[in-house]
Amino acid sequence: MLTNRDYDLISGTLDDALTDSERAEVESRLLRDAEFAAELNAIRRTITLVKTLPELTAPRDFRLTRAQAADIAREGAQIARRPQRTSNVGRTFFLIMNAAASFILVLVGFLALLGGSLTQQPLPTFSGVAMLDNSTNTLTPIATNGLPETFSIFSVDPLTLTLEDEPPGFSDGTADISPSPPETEFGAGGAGEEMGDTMMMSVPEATPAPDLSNTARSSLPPAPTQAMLTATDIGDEAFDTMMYEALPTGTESNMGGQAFGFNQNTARADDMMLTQAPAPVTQSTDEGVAEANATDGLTEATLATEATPKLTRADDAPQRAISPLSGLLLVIVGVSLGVVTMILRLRQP
Amino acid sequence: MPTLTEDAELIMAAQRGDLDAFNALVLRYQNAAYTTAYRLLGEPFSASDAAQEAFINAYRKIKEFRGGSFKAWLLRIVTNGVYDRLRYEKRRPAESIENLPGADGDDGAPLVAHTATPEQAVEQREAQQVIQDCLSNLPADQRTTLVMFDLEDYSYQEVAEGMDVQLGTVKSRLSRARLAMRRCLDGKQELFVDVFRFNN
Repeated sequence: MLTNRDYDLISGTLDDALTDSERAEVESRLLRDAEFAAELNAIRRTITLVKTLPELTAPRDFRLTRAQAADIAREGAQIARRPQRTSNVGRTFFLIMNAAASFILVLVGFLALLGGSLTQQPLPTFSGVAMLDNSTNTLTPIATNGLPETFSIFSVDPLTLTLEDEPPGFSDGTADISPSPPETEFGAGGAGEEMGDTMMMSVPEATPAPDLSNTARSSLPPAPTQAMLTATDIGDEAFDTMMYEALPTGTESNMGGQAFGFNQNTARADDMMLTQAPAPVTQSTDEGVAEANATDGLTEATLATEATPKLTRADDAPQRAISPLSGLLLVIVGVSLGVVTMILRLRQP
Repeated sequence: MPTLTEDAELIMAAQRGDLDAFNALVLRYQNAAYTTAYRLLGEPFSASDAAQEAFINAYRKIKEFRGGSFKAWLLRIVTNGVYDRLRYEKRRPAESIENLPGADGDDGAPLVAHTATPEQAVEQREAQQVIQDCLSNLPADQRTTLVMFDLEDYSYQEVAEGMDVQLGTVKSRLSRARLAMRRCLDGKQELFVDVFRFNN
């Protein structure tokens, strides 16, 4: 049974259109394959038969009449005029697009000049370490990263930022991490500013920590407590004072905060972490991780937060994607384009 | 047989708008144009329309002719026009070619080019009709390829350009068309004894 390739070879052989290797293959097949040879002859005979078809006599005269020739000439003249119309259409479209582009450029430029907020950009990051004195319930910054020099913790609510001294489920010097209320507050006020300008961070409620033994419950020192606060993407130069508030059982994952300079902020729970040395107890939820460690005389809490880049500033100052200078440039370009468009329109026939 | 020089003079005159010169070319090649259209379409009325349309297109494009064989140029116009028509009919198979009037070839042009005796003429006519029927049953692309290459002596490259396909596609279609024709004509070899004798 011959394949399509065999028939391609046969056809190529009859047309003398084979390569050297194909020709060698065909010669080899002809010697040892009778079917191949028979098909070659059959196809050759078929082509011969097809070629015997004679030229026919036209059933009528196909000469063109004067009227037909005139119609063709008229049609040709119309076709010759058509490109000009097409050109005018294209030119008009070009001018319309120019005008639209000019208008958009001028509009955007004016908006930029007038200070309209075009986009919102992620805000700078900071991190900090603060010492929590349980006796005064005050957080004192001991290290900051990305925070302005004026950063300070000036007030802590005694009922809030708390690593329980003897919480239930405590073991091996490890603080128990308990579920917390749905929301605590993490706030900062600007130096000399009203505390009313705040930032709120809300995260979902954490699930309870695993049931731990109570063997080392007493090893947790009562005070002082060192809290290291780490936050990213939630502050800028306006973030100069912070108040930390945490409900007694909410230090590990549920935090809310208010910071001056922001009227809206959200923090993801998986970006928040609280640790207490030496042996960490880590509590993970679907949305957050919290760790707490207890050390001699110190309770260290590490909180890591990362705000989403959906921040806007509380004073409604716009985040400019286009500077006023760029806006001015856009206006100039737009007006120039408009002038050019008008000139082209006036010169259009 | 018109010479290229005679053709060239007529073509130059036609390009200047001389309708009589163009019509002289029409008279020279109208049989060839009609035959090609008939081989491709398989019935005389459509072939006649296609040939007329091809001459109108040729007159329209005569100023674009840049030399060479006028017959080849004209037949390419015929083939392209018919091929477009076949593709259009393939997309809109409202009425089969076979059902059109004259599809049986009775009212077509004479199919016998030369005969020996009346009996042989009948046999030859019958054999040619069988070949034409087999040709008409081929798919349009294979039929066009076969007619262009085996009947009109186009090269592979010219067929590829005329049908806007790759060279390998032409070879493949030609191979399939020949195989289909061979199978169609298989068992009817007795019809072609006289054909071979006349042509040899």
